[in-house]
Amino acid sequence: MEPHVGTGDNPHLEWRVAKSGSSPAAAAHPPSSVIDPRTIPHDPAPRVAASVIGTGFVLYVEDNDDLRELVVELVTVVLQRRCVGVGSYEELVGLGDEALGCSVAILDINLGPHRLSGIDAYRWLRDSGYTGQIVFLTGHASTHPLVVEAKRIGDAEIFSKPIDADRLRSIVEGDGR
Amino acid sequence: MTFSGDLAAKHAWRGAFVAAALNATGMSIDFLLARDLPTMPIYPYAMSTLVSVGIIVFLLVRRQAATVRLGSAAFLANMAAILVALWITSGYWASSGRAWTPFQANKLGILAVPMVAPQLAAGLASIAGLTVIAIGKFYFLDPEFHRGFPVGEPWFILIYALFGSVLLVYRLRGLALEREMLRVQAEAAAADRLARTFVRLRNYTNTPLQTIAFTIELLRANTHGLKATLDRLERAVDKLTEVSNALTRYEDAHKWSPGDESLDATMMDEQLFGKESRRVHGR
Repeated sequence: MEPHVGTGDNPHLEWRVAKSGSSPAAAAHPPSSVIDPRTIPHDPAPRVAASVIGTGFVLYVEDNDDLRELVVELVTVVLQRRCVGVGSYEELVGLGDEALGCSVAILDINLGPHRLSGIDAYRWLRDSGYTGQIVFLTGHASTHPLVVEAKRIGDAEIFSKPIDADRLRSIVEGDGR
Repeated sequence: MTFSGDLAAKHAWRGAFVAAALNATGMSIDFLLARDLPTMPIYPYAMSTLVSVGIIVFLLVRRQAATVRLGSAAFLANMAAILVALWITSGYWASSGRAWTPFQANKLGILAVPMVAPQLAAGLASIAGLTVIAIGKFYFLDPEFHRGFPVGEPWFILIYALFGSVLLVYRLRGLALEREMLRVQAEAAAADRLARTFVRLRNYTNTPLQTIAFTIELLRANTHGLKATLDRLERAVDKLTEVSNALTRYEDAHKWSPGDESLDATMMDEQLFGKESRRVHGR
């Protein structure tokens, strides 16, 4: 699965970062991102290295492909902010230090059965030195064990799906708390 | 049949079965003990034993269709055979001229009835029958035989009858309480299953709802002339969100078990929609 990168500078331009390796081993040895030179007829977005992500973007970790791609597009087109979407903990770790340049990280709590969760993603970000805002988004009940564990973290707001666009805007603009 | 009724029927069936088995066993032993009495007839024992064996066979045949009424009827039929046999044999015991403790079988029966009686009425009728048979037989006997009886007979059996009745009420109330507790536990388990289904249903629908909601926003930004359509779609999403929010009330009712949180999506699909859903929708 490829992380999706949208740039708010040009709402009609979508960036895709091709990445090799999304296994747990990638966590220990983050793979180098490469430029995928292919042009996909139905998707004119150029593919660029993760290193051009820069800083101040919105990081979205979500295992549901449709929702992840949609949020990247929505943040990019409507909210005019660059956004990077990744589908798993391993992909997040694969971004390496690039991920730490985000202004806000939105993490889906449950990243799939028998997979590392958004809470693991939170810990990785904090352990890696990220000090910015982290927000959890979940479709689960407030009594779900992962949600209960996320509540204990304390410095991360938890929002239940579905949220509206205004809420997303406030999160992205950093006043979601 | 309700769960509670089912359990009551099983209790009744089991009680009647055990009573019949005790009848067959007790009468057989009594017959062996009485074999030295030359005048003692065999037919009361044979009749009672055959009736009990017949009841056992009948109960086994009707095991799957057991009801409380069936259990009580079998229990009373078995008791009737016992009463007839005891009426006859007690006279022979009393007139045998040997040392005899009067109405031991009646007293034993009175103490056994509370353990196996299917219903209060059947149990009380049985205790009354055993008591009346003993007292009645006493007065039917030649007064000459009374001299060999212990002091206080036959009225001791009334004490047994009193104790037996109290034990019967105590046991049946205990059984009723036990059945009620099981019923409540079963209802609680069913409620938890329902709550779990609703909670999972809500979990399952929230991400698609989110996708639709954001798609509407994206379409609003990208297209013109669709406002009315998108407004209708948004109202539909709002309605679905209200349903989702309404299901949150079941969150507290559901107790998460270890492993629930990692429930595989396929399993969730099958639990919510059946095994056909994934094939039909090709998700």
